[in-house]
Amino acid sequence: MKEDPGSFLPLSTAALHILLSLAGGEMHGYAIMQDVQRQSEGKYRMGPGTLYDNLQKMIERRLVEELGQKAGDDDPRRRYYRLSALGRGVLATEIARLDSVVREGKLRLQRPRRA
Amino acid sequence: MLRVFYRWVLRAHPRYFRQRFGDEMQSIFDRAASPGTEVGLLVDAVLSLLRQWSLRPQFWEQPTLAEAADGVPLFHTLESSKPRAAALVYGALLSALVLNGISWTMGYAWNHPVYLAIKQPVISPPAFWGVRGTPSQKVSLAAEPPLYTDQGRVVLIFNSPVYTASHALGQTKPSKPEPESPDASSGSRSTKPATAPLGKQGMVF
Repeated sequence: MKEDPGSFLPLSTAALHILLSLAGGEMHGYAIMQDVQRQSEGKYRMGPGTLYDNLQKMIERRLVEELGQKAGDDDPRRRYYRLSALGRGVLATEIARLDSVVREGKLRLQRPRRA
Repeated sequence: MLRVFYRWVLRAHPRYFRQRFGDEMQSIFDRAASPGTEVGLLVDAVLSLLRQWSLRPQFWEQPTLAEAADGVPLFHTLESSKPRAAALVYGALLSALVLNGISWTMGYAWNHPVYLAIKQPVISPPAFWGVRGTPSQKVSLAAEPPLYTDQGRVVLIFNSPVYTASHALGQTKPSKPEPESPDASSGSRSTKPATAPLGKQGMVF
């Protein structure tokens, strides 16, 4: 049975940043942490505990797939993760929702205030 | 020192979480060089420990197939990592050995059959099989020829030159069969009168 991406919304801040990072390709945990810091220009820092707690939930809900270890990696303890098709759909739906929120917010802020 | 504390905190996590992510969390801690970052990571690990034990009871143990399926039959991949090359070679070797053994057993059984002695029953045909035209006439069963068996096959012989209609009715003794003409043995049919003994006809089952 196909799951509705809208049923996963709204995403938490951590989940949104993790899905955004994985949308660029498969990554290991440390690379996700660094990418999240870069996305938020250093304003949002995520520790490993928060990262793996969210990854665990998203793997369970089949938004993210665990690829396991990669041969040739400099640290054999690393495991790689990637976005599933469902996860990509959820991210697209969340981005569309946030886009409508941003547009509505801009419209309301541009209107002159009535006294 | 902080690394030892961090390791202790990781060991205090639920077993399933620790087995799954413990090594990676330790790896990230090892990459953090500055002491300030290490303290932050230690605090994060303590918060994670509290969160896992208090808010995530569903992840304390590895979910079973029944829980994952939620009542719906599905296929579930337990391990996403690829199998080792040695395991693949071992599996291929084992499969080849098993296949070879089965092939050898089948070949041996084919070349060494086991015979069972089965006593074949003697079946007498109906009396009128040797009679032409009048099946209602009474026929002596003792004069009927038995069925000939040939290694399991049943050979029905009727209209034979030996057992003619008059013999089947018990009026005459069986006569010797006439030797077959050369043209009959070569397969061509001879045109003889109806009173003459009929040619050999039979059915093999």
